[in-house]
Amino acid sequence: MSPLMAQGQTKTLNPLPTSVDIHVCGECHGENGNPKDEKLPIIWGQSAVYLEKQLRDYRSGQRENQIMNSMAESVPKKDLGLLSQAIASKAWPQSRPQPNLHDNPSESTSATTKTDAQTCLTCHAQNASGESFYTGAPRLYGQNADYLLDQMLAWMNQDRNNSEVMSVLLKNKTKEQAKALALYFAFH
Amino acid sequence: MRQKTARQQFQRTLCAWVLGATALPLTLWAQNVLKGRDAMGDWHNDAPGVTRLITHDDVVAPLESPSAANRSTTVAKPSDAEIKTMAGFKVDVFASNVDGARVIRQAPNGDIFVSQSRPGNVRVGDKYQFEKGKVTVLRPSPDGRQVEKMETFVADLKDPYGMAFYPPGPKPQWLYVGMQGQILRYPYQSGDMKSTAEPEVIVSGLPTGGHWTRDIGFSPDGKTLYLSVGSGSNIAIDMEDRPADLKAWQKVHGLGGAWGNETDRATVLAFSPDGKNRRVYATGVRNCSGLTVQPKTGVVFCSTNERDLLGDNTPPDYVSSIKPGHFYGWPWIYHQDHEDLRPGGGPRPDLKGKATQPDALIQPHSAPLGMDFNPGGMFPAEWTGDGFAALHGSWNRAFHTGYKIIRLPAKSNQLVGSYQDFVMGFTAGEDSVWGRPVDVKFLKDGSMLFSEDVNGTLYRVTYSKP
Repeated sequence: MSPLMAQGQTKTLNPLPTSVDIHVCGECHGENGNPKDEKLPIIWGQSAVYLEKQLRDYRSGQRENQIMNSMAESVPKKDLGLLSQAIASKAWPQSRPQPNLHDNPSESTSATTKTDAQTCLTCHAQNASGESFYTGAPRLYGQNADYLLDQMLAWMNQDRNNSEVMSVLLKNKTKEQAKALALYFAFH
Repeated sequence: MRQKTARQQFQRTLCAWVLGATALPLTLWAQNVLKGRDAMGDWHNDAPGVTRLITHDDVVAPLESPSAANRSTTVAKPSDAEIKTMAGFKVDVFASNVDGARVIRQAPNGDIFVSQSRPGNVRVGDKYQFEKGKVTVLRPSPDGRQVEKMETFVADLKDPYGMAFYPPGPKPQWLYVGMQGQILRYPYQSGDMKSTAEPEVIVSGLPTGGHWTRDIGFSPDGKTLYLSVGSGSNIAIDMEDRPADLKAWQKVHGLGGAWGNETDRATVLAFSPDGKNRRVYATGVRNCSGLTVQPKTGVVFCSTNERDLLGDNTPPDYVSSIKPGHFYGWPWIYHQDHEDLRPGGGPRPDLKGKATQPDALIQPHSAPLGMDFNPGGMFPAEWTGDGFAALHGSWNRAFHTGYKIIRLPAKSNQLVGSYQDFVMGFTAGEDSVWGRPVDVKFLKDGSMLFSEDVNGTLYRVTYSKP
C-alpha cells in the first residue's frame, strides 16, 4: 500500500501552488499521458514516492538530463512532493502503442528473460491499481520500451547512478538482455 | 497542443512576411540586418544569408513570455528534407553512421578525429545499439570528398568530448581527450588510427554531473592547456551558504567564482601541458561547449549556452573572446548588468558592474556548441578570419530556434557582434528535427566540416564562386 493510500489521501490533493504547473510536464510527457517521444517515460500515474526522488535528484544533478535538471529547478524544493503527488494522481494511459516492427516480442518471452523479470518484480511488482508494492520503485509494466532500454543502458554505463541497487543489479547484464527486458515490461 | 501566445504568433507571422516580401539577391543581404527583437525569430524564418544583430541593449526582461518546455523530437531525414545554404556553397555528406558525432579535429596528416561522446544515447528509428564513448579516425580520400578508411582510435570512454594535439604544429606526439572527470592523453604518431598504448592521466578529479561537455585547447606556443568546465546546474539554485571569507575565496577561485557543488564550475581552467599548475582562467561562463583558441592571436574563445527558464527571448547565448581573470556573470548576472536572483547563497551586489559583456550575442536558447575560425583558402576571401559556430537548437522556447550553422563576421580578429544564417534546414515541422549541429572545423583545404548528432552525420561545405 502506498503512503498516499495509507494516509487516507486517495486521489484528492491539496491545490497546487501557482509555481507548480503540471501542464508543463504534459508538454513533453503527453497531456493524455502518452509522451510525444517514446524515449521519454510515461509519468502520469507513476509512483509519487519515486517521482519525488527523481525530481530531487534532477534538481541536485545526481540524475543527469539537461532539460529535467532545469525543469526540476523551476519548482520550489518544498513543492516537489506536491507536484509528484499531482502527477501520480493522473491516470496511467490506457491506450498503448503496439510494438513496432523493430521490436521482436519473441525475444522478450525467453525463459531467461522471464527469470530476469522475476528479479525485477521483487520490487517493481504492481497491484491492480498500478502501484508498485515497494513504492520507491517505479511501475515498469506498460512503460515505453525505448525509455526502459535507455535507462537500463544508462545504469550499465554508469551514466545513471542514483540507486545503488539498480547499479548492482544491472552491472553484468548484456545489452541484448536489457533489450529483452525492456520489451517484456513494455508489452506484457 | 503547445500553447503559443498571440504575441508569439504575431511575431512569427510578421517575421515570415518581412522575409517573404524581401526575396533579395543574397549579395544584398549584407545590408539587410535584422536587429534586436526582429533578430529573434524561429526556424520558420531562417534563411541563408539573413544577418542578425543582438546587442546588450536588446536583452529582454525575464519572463516577458512564459518559459516553454519544447523538446525537439529527433527523426530520420525526411525524404523531402533539404539542407539550405548560400549561393556558391555546397553541402555534401562526408561521413554517415558516426553515431553521436561531436567534436571534430584534424591531425596534421589530414586524418579527421571525431569524438562520439554518447553514441548509444542518440537513436533514431529502429537502431537499438549501445556503446560507450569513443574517438573515431576518418581518413579522407585524396579528393577530400569522402572517407577512405575509418578506425576506432580509442573506445570505452565516459563522455569523451574535446580533443587537442600536442605539441601544436606539424609533429604532435599526443592526443589529449577531455571527458567529464578527467583529461587523458594518448601517444600519437602521424598516421596512427588506433591508439597503441595506455593513456596517461593528465588532469583528474574534474567535477561530474550536470553539464558534461569538457572542451580543451592549447595556446599556440603550447605552454597552456585550456579546459572548459560547464556549470553543474542551470542557475545554482541549491548552492549552499557562501564562504565566510568571500575575498579569500575569490582569490583562489576567481572573481565571481561559485562555491559548494558549483566550485570551479562555469569556468575556463588553465594548466601546464603536464596537467600541473592548475588555475582558474575565467569565471561565470555557464557552459562553454566550444572552446577554441584563435590561431592568429592565441585568444581563447567560448561559445556558451546561457541560462534557462527566463522566457523565450532572454538571455542571449554568446560566442565571445574570454579574457583572463574576467567574470562573465553566471550565476548572479547575465549580460553585464542583468541581475538573477535565483542562485542559492544570497544576492551579490558586490559583483555589480564587474561582469564582462560578451562579444557576439546569439538568439536566446539557440545552444551554440562548437566554433572555429575560417583560415581562408576556399571560402570567399572577405570571410577569412570570420568565426563559424554550430547551433544545437532550442528546447526552452515556444518555437524552435537554432539547428543551424552561423557565420560570425570578424574585423581585425575581433567578432563584429552580428551573425549570419549559413547552413540550415534540419527542422521537420513544429516538433521534429533530423539534425542537431554540434561542431564546425575548417580543414586544411579551406573547406568546412560540421557534425550533427541526431543521425550521426558529418557534412563538408565547399565553395566555388558563383
